[in-house]
Amino acid sequence: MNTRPKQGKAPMNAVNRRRFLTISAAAGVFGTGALLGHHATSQPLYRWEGVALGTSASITLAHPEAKRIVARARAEIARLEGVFSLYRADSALSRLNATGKLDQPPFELLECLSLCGTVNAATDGLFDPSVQPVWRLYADSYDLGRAPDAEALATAQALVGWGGVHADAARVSFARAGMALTLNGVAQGFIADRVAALLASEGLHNILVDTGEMRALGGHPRGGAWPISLDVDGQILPKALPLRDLALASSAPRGTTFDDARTQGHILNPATGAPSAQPWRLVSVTAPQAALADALSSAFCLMTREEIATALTAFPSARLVYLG
Amino acid sequence: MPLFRTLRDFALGALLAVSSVFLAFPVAAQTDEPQLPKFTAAFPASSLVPEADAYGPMREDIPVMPLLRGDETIGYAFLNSDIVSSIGYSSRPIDILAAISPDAVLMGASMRRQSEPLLQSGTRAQDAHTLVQSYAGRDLKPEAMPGGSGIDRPYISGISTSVRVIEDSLVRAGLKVAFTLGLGGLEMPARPEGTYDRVNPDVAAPETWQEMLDAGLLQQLTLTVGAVNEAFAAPYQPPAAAQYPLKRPPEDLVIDLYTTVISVPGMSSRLLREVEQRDLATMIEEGGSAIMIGARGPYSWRGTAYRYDGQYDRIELIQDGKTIRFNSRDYMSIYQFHVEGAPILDEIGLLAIPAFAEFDPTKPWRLQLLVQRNMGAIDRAYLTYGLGFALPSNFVIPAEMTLEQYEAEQERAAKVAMRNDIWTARAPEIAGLAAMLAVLTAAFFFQGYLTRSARLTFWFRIAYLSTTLVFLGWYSNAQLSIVNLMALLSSLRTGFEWDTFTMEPMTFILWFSVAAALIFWGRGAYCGWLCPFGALQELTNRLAKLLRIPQVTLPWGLNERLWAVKYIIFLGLFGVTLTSLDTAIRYAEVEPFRTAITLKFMRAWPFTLYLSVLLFIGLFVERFYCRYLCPLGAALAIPARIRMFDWIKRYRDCGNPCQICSNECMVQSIHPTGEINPNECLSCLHCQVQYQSKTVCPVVIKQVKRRDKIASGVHAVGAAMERTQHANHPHAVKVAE
Repeated sequence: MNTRPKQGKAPMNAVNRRRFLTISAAAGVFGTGALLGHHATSQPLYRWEGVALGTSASITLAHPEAKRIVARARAEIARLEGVFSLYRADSALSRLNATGKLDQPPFELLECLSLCGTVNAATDGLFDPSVQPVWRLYADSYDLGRAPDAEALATAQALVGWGGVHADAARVSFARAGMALTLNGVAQGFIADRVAALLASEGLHNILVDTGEMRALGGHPRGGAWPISLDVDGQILPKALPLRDLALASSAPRGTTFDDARTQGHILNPATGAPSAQPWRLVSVTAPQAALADALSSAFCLMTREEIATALTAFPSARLVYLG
Repeated sequence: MPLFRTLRDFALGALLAVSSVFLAFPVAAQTDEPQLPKFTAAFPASSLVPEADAYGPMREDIPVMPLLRGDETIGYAFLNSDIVSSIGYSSRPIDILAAISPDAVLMGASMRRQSEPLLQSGTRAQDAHTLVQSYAGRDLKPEAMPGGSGIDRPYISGISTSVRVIEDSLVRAGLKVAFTLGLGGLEMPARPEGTYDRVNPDVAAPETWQEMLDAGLLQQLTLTVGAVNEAFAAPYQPPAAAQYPLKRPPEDLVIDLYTTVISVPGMSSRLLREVEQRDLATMIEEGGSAIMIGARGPYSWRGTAYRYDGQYDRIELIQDGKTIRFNSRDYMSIYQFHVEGAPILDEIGLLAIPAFAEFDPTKPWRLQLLVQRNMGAIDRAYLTYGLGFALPSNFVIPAEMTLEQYEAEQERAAKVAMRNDIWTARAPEIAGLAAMLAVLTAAFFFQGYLTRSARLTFWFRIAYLSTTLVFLGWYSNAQLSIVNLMALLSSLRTGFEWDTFTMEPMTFILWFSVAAALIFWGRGAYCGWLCPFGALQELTNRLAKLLRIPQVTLPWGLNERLWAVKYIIFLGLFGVTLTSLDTAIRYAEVEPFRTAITLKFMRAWPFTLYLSVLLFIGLFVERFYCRYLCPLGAALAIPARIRMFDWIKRYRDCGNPCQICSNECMVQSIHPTGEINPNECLSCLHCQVQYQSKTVCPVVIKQVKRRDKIASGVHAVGAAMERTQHANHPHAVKVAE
């Protein structure tokens, strides 16, 4: 699950990763769900597990043509990785970062940047994909086993700023040379949404798409909602979260760290260039769209409980389901 | 006898048990995993190609590893058997690690593993190594031409099958790598028709617009003001987006868009006028396609940006993870469709898709439409709408087979061609073998006549065995071996294929004959007559007898116990085969066949010494190896009792008390009690000569005496005598169980 290095770079020694979301045993739901008669099906549950954007991903459904459906979903995931991946040098985002501009941007990139702008405004700039130059500096420095030096940090910090990102259908461009974006705080959710939309357009339902963030299309095929258990620092919370036609995104600021001592969390504050100062171990948000939940959960890692409450007023359909 | 029976039962039981274990092995346990990583791990890149210093990671599309010098890729390494079949004479693959340059020239090749019986000796193995190495520098580009390069296949006497397989597998594997990687300007040959779905050019679309919509030949996307306003008010949209709503009534159109694949003949002939069809045809390049987008409503799918840079920035086509964008140079405008019920559209465009975009009109695709809303001076919000299209199945001619099936068929055809080549080349030998088999069959069928004459039988046998040794053995290398059986057994696990076993004609025909002979006569037909090494032993022993070298007759009890040894050897090899065929093949050197027959004594001294010891013992103990050690003989003996006929005749008095045949049997297969052990009998027919001999067989002598007595005086009791003789006849007594 949310074990992504939130800001892009291949997993490395300095970035320690860990899973913290699980799907509860389906069997537990089976009894009640089936009795309630929610679209109960006799099809066996099919689950594909793989990788999307460098994170473990899965698609769970019950359908006679499950494998074919998953194959189409995977093709879509692969296509969107070609837009958002920072691991792939030929992705639209990598090309944008390398040259500072991108003509004819993919529609998905435009939409995603548009969403980023919305969340950026609602979080007073705490959600900001343009923090990538700072993130890169942290990752490279800790790869060599040391903290970034102040001067380099100041240089990188000067490149951060959402106002320097210009996007329209003809071109995406940066105001300052050296700027770069990471969409790792939102792309997983965005991809989950697109896959869900693709499947829904084919009339499919009762599918759980998990690309690092979860998007439930309908409920569990055996009836009832998808039961999702949160895992806080290795402890699985006893009460499963029901997910039906809803998305869930979680961020653990210290779930992935730059340093082996696990003090330098991977979610950086774009205002200060420093890792999150908040005490949160896990932030979980639900929303109708996984991309929105993803962006909010990333931003909330940097905010106090009060600030989160204020930000949430701009998104009435989103909910903070765990903070601690 | 009891010992033997126990042993036989044990052997049979074990055979059954082991084979059931064998068949119980899940087939999936055998993987088609590429062996390349294993072989490259054991063979440094610099040994394959001196300039190289490392292998890169294996590709996913084809088992090929880049050959690196520093960071530079100077070539590509592959294993022939990963890519094509390289099953040789031994029914085992010949594994050759090779490298090919970016210009499709082989840069190096090295024989890494082979089980070819003829290539085991030091000099022969070295020859094969040299041959394989000589492929370095071979340009494969001419091989891609029809008819190949015309280069004569290198020939090394006596190992033509193996050489043919080396040549064939190396060239074909190299070509496949070159095709896949596009080396030397070689391209994958055009995908053959029938291996992919095609648009059926002969199906016409229905006549009205509405029917086309109903059939799914047209797809429609209708966006209203209300729907778009609502979508822009979604929570993840910029808050400002909701502040700039379209101010028209909610049911008003934003866009009403239709799309289809217009390059489908059935559609273009309906929707377009002839002149438009011609224009469209000139716009579509070979292998390309074209779609139609037609729309009405105030939102233009073409937008305005194309006026500056030619790019349509509001539409894209998505198929199988590929995104296709369009440019105004690929655009052709249509004013109106002349079809009943067609709506009046504001903008109808035909958009050509070039061949390199690899758009497949028979597969589903979707059109994405970007809807943008301006908020103030520069800010924009975006929505993407998708419209799926799938060509109805009646417009599609489905593939007759997958590309994999086609390639498998090609592979099979290549193998058949190679086999036919080999069989043709060896036609004279095949004819010789056929003649030998015919003669032997006749001899067995008419053995009663043959064995009337001891002298004829003796010389017939000497002549036949000499032919077996010289022609079958030394000339044709047609020596069966336990290795053949082990390969067969192993193939039951990995997937049996006839082709594997028909590659080598002499071995195949011999095995076929052995199978037939087992049903009729038992193991003797092969072991006693057709086995070149058996012939060698018997002929050398004949010479020894001629030179009056004393013969040793083993005490019966010892003889009977020694029989067991060969079964133990056989079962041992059988067991090892289950774990590793390669290991088993090494242990199968217990057979001196390779040294004596295929390699004609030209081999490293331990092998020659072993062979000499066996032949030396054979001078004193006739057919020592056959009787006590031969695992192939053991394997053939186990089913010996299934034979349909008992051709070997016996009298009731045989063994009781007469021991003449028993004493004279060269392999001591006749029990003191008179029965012949079919597992040991080599069908040499000597006892059948005795059976009719008026000078040796006491029964015959007695009969002759009586006959003479009757003939000389007393009147015809001939009939009674006849009856006696019949009663004595073998079908009543036979070989005792």
